[in-house]
This record gives sequence, structure tokens and C-alpha cells, in this order.
Amino acid sequence: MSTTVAAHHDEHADHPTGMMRWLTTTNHKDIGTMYLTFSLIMFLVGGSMILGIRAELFQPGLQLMKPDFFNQLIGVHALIMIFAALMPAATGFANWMLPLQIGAPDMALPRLNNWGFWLLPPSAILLTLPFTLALFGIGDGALATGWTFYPPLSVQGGIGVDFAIFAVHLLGISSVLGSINIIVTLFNMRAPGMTLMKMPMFAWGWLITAFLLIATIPVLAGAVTMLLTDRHFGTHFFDAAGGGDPILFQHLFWFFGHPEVYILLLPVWGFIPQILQTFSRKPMYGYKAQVYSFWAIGALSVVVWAHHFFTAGLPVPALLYFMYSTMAISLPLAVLFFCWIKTMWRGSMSFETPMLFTVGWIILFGIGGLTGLVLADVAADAQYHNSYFVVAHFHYTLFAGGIMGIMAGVYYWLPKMTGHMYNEKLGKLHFWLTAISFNLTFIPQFFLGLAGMPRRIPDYALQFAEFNMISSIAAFVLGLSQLIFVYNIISTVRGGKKATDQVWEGAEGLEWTLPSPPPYHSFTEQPVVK
Amino acid sequence: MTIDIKDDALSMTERRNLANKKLGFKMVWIVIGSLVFAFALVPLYDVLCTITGLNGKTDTSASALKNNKVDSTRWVTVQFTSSVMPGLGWNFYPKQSSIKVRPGQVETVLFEAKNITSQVVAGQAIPSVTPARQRLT
Repeated sequence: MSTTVAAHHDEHADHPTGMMRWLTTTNHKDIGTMYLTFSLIMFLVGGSMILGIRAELFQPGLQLMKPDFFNQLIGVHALIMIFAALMPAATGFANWMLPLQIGAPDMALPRLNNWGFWLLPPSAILLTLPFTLALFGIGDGALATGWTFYPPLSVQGGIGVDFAIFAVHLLGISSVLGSINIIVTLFNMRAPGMTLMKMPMFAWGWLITAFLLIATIPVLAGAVTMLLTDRHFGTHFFDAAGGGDPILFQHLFWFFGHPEVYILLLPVWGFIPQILQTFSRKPMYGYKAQVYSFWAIGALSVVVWAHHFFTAGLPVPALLYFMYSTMAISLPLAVLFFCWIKTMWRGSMSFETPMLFTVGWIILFGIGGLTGLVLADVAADAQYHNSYFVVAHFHYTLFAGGIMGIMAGVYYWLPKMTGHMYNEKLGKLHFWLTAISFNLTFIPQFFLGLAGMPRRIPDYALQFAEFNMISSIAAFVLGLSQLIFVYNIISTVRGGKKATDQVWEGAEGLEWTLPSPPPYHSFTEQPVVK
Repeated sequence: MTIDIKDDALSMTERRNLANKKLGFKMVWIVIGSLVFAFALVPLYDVLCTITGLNGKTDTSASALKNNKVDSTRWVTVQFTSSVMPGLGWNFYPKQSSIKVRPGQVETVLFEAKNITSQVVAGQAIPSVTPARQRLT
């Protein structure tokens, strides 16, 4: 028995090289790296799609593309950014950092982990292939329904809808597998002495996220499967002419869709307090309060879904219930904001790039949250629904609150992952360009929405021209400044100033006790946490 | 018998791998459960709408109304209209353009549907009432 296992260990030590290493790897660091790389590539793909949109919206009238292609770009941009950029980035960090943070040698189910990643590239191809097929005259392009697949449009749409449905199936399986792996890892693989209430906040964020994922992704899978059978097998789940109900789809979709918002954000809410305590050089404030707030938000997130379609004709008691329960989410979130600010309070702060991103994140995500409260008001929502106000709101939560938080994490842990310090000057330049151009892109969109400009329309009335022009120019600056980020990452991977084991002066946690970069197999002897 | 520390460590790893698999499969049950829940929502939603009269779903037994007091002091005029989707080879129209009824009174009205194509076409009547406050319960 002992000999076979010893041989097994040897096999791990000299893993295959080249492409086979990445195809067959079960190492959490390799898989984490693949997730993060995939996410960065898809971030650029989804970003260039939206630059096409902003170019079209630069002036009123139709200049660059047909309305149908415009609609396709919008829907695929959203699907790519949510499922192929933001979610894999969070899963990548989970793979890289969770075992290091809880003192585990690897993830609990390494083979599952490999499979979870390798489902992603095929689904990205499924999402984007219809664009290429349309060039050769096959089909009429990608799905043009927006990322929400609302029937009856999605029942009538072309083959792009089928491609997107299968892509969502694959992406769903991938994230369910990743979540199962993370739950098992966090429950079974913690180092001796690391109780649940001693886990880092990032681990807590992911634990709630993982449970939300396995509870809601199957509902989305079910909903799009019904859509598929409606399209091809003569069922009438969502077809009113056959006794179905298109509103039912909205219920099913947003039963997944609203928790999805917190699935994207909870891992980032885990980064934030850890980065804040490092650069404030004092322990985080209110650890327990933050953990309980995570629980409260996770629980509330599955009972508020109908606020996404207040205008679809819900009865008044339902409107009131969904309005109040949605607003109730701001209470635990306010607790979190308070804890984050109190963590910085009277700390000896320094503003390296991760800290800059985190402080900027708190302000911008705060704006996203407050505008969300406005939208949660049923009476106000009748005016704002489907306007650019909504677009601006969810970009404050998902670009600022999601992607900028991920960027803070990248700058924070990149020296640990690569063993090299990134270029601090370029990092700061990246932050300031991103923060300023992001605001210049989306603040005008708040005003456009208030003035009544509807979203998802390729043309607009003349009075919206100036704000759209500002927004488009700023969007291109925002897009191009991400190239600094890419350059900085690549040059840090290839070389640079050697990073110390602790990397940051105030960094605390198990991952900072390992060398930078950590060895291929870490914590073969589990550390004991006191 | 001596205690082999290495052997002990191995069985620890094996035990943990087994526990991991077990917990993993438990999680799969949650996934299956929520998939079943998604499909169960379809009939549940239908039942909920019928009970509450939401979304235009109505009780189809309008003629079985109990204690429907006829208000003989008022007249209500009900008008009928119909439309056919372009391309559907049907004539479909109400046989009376309007009727006058007392509130609470049960009346029968007739619609005529005629297939003007040479093929057999099946139709299905789906009751739906909007706005929801005007539902027939």
C-alpha cells in the first residue's frame, strides 16, 4: 500500500511539461492560473465588443452596424463578462488562494477541478462562433435578445439562441463543479485549528457564493432547457398561444439572476477587508459582523428576484413585498461598508496599487449600491426601468464593484503568485486612468437614463448626443488603459524585482508564510493554526 | 506490533479523500434538488396564478357562480372584438358586437371560427383576463 502511494507522489513531482501539463493538471495553482488567464482574455474580448457598441453610439443615427448586430454585441458582451470574465476570475482566485489561505495541500477534488476549467473554452467558442458562422452565411449571428433570453423574442430567434443556450449549460456545469469543489475544500481540508470562524473573509465570501451557485444555477439551466424545448420540441412553457406564460420565464431567470449578482460580488467582498487590513496595518474591524452580513445577504438574495421586472404587471402586494425585501439588503450591506471604513480608521495607511483600487472600489461600489436603492423603489422604477440609469447602476456594481475589486486582488496577490513585484508606477497609472474614465463613461449614462434614453437601442434622439459622445470617448480610454494592466501582468510574470515572502509589510495569513512564488506542492505538512 | 507513522499518515489522506467524495456527492443532491425545483415551479406557478387570479389566469367555471346577486338597477354594455394573427388562415369573429347585461347576470355569447384554408387546423381556447382586478372569479 505504502509503495503505490509513494509512486503516486513521485508521479506528481515530475508532472508532464508543455501543453500536456496544462491539459492534464490537477494542481490547484496551475488550474487557478488557467482560470485567471482565460478570464483576462475573455475580459478583453467582451470589452472590445462593447467598444463596438460605444463607437456606434458615439453619434445619433446608424453609422457602423445594423441594429441586429448591435443587439447581438450587447447580449454576448454581457454573457461573456459575467460568465467568462468575472466568474472565472473569482474561481481562479479561489483555486489559487483558498488552499494557501486555509493551509490545505490542494483542492479537495482535483480531477473535478480540471474538468471544471476545461468546460470553459468550449463554451466561450459556442458563444462567439455564431458571429463567425454568419460571415459564411450560416445562421444570422449570435443571440440578439440581450443576456436575459426573454421570450417570446428568444423563442423566435435564430441559431444564435441555441448556441447561447448550450454555452450557458456548459458554463453552468463548470461553475457548479467549481462550487462543489470549493465547498468540500472549505469543509474538509482546513488546517488543524482553523475553525470556520477563523477562516479568512475571502473563504467566507466563496462559501456563501458556492452555496448560492449550486442552488440557483440549476434553475437557470432548467429555464433555458424549457426555452430549448419551446423552440424545437413543441412545448409551450413560455408561449402564451399554447397556454404558457412569458412572465414565468422572467421569474425563473431572475430567481437565478438576482443571486448571481451576489455570486459575482461576494468573493470580492472577501478580498476587500483583507487588503484593507494589510495596508491599514491593523486587524480588520468586525470580522463576525461581516460573516453574519454575508449570511444575511446570501439568504435575502434568493427572495427578492422580482424587482427586476416591477413593470411586468405584478399585483400590488407582490410589488410591496419585493420592494421592501430588496431595500432590506442595504442593511447588512451598510454593516459591511461600516466595517470596511472602520478597518481603515486611524490605521497607518499606505496607498500601493491594491489599496488604491480598494479605496476607489468602496466609493464607486457605494454609488452602485445607492442607485440600486433608487431602482428598488417601485414608483421610481416605473420611470427608470430599462433606461440607461439601469445600465449605469449595474456597471457601478459589476465593473467597479466586481472587476475593479478583482484588479485589487490581482495587484495584491500577483507578487505572491509570480515571486516578482509588479511595476508600481504603471499600476497607479492604471488605477487613475481606470477610475477617472470609468466615471466619465457612466456618470453621463445616469443622466441619459433620467432623461429617458432607453437601453439596448442603437439610435437615439438628438438631445442625448453630447452625453453619449462623452461616454463613448471615456469608454475608449477605459478600454485602452486596460492594456497597461495586461502589460503589467505579463512583465511581472516574466521578471522584475524579487518579492519577499510576506510581500506587504502588514500582510497576515497563511499564504504569506509560504515563499514567493509558493512551491508547486505547498503545505504537504499541514500547518497548525492557533 | 510497531506503529508506522507513515502508514497512519497515509490512511489519514485516504480517509480524507473518501470524506471529500462523500460530501461532494451530497452537494450533487442539492444540485439535482434545485433542478427539480425549477421544473416544479412551472405547475406551481400555474396553480398560484389560478388561485390568486394573477396574470389573467381565471377560474374557468364562471357559470357556476354562487350567490350571484343580480343588480337589477344597472345596465352594463359589453362589447366584443376579435383579431387574427396575419398569416393564419382563419376567420374569427363574435356573432354579436355588443350585449347589455345586468351586473351579476350570466349570459352566453357566441364566437364563430372558420377555417378558410384547405388543411385541417386545430385551435385551442386559452382564457386570460386583463387587468387582473377585473378577473372573473
